[in-house]
Amino acid sequence: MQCVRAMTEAVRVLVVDDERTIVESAGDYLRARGFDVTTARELEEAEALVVVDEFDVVVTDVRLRPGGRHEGLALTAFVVDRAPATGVIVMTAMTSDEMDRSARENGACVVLHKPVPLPQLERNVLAIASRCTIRGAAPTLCDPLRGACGTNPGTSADLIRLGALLAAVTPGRAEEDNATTLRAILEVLARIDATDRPRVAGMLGHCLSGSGAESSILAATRHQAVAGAVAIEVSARLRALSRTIRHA
Amino acid sequence: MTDPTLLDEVLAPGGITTCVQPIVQFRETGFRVDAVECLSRGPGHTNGRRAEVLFEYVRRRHAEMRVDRACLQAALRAVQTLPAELDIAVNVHAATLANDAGFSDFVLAACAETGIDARRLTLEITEHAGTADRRRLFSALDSLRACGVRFALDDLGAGTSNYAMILEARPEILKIDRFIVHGCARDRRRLAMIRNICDLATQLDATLVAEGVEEPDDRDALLAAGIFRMQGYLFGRPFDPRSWPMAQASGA
Repeated sequence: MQCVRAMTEAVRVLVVDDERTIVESAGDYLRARGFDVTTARELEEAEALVVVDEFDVVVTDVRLRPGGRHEGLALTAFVVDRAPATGVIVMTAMTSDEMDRSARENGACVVLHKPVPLPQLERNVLAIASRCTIRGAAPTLCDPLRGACGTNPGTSADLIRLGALLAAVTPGRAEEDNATTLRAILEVLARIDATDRPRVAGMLGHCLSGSGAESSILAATRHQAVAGAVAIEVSARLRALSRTIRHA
Repeated sequence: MTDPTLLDEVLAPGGITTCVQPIVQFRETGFRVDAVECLSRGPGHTNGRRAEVLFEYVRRRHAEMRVDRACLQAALRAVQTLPAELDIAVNVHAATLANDAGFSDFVLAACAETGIDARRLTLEITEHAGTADRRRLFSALDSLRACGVRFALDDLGAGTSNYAMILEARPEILKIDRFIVHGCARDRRRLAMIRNICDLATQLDATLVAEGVEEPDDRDALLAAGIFRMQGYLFGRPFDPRSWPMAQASGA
């Protein structure tokens, strides 16, 4: 799956739960926030959708039929096998270490315990989706940024957005779009720098060090005069952040 | 009371809707519609409204037999007002033909109910690559052939077709997959494949239909290769058969 997409493209989410009220409320909530949402209430229906379409994130309950057991774990394993670039969030009312472990062993990225507040679901969907986007361009940013998420909500959102923005700067993209994205990166960096240093800035610097993000954006804008100039400024700011950890 | 499943909704009265896409035959006077392929959709408010999702789901639910019966019945009822000179093509899973012992009788009963001569009917066999009981499959084919029904194998050139099936099923019609057709005018490899398929069809006394024809130059390349029956957006998109006279007037 091509993970690197323009920031204007909506994150594609499949929400699966056998309870109609849950799947509809989650679907409506995420759609209202700009996600491209498909819903399903059966294992086989979800599998069919994964076969036919591409999703950034699949959110699934564990039990998917009356009297059922762990259909959601089977779906998780199916998604991991069929669409390895798609992240899976498992929701379960069964609060046990064994269930959490089983979900992760089947490939779940995150396990959430019901009832899941919809804003929490949204944050996790966004984090997983951005991780997918990050993986497409700068793999070594993935795990460190994952660890940075969830500490300070505002900074977490900026870190997630930063990863997605960095990944969006690509050689085939229009110069104007790359320039706009790079200016947005400068804004995010300024915000991170002003509000939460040195901890987060240092963490980000640690993430960026050796990630190749700087060279990626310079290479992508090599033949784009305007975007290239902004890329040089972004690269300088990123290098400065990378040095932050060495001086922390 | 639990909510109905997607399968429940598909099998409920009115759960299947049928569109038709024209299949044209090239003659000296130009192209003429001489058949339609019936395309089934699930309820519009469900994921089954998309055929590719519907039938992937149906296969995963192992419900091919029930859904094929529903689709066939809906299709024949939908096209019963079309001109009698048009042939009707309906898709059927190979698993249904092999495993549904009463399917032949069901087909003939549906034809009788709608007044459609069985000799107008072509059943397009889908998903035949993994068919376990070929003996029962071919027995069903023979039974229906005796009543005038013809058979087509589609996706020729794609991964699911195979020579063994062509040899044993002896389809009257072979449908060339759109993957081979699209862009054939500019791709000598695709043209080479098409010429080979033409020769094969001639040797097997089968009629070829090229699917997915969207470009005039592909149409012309297919004609030059000797393929005179085609289907695709160039000749008309799927439409509600109830709008047939209007579709004809617009050139669909």
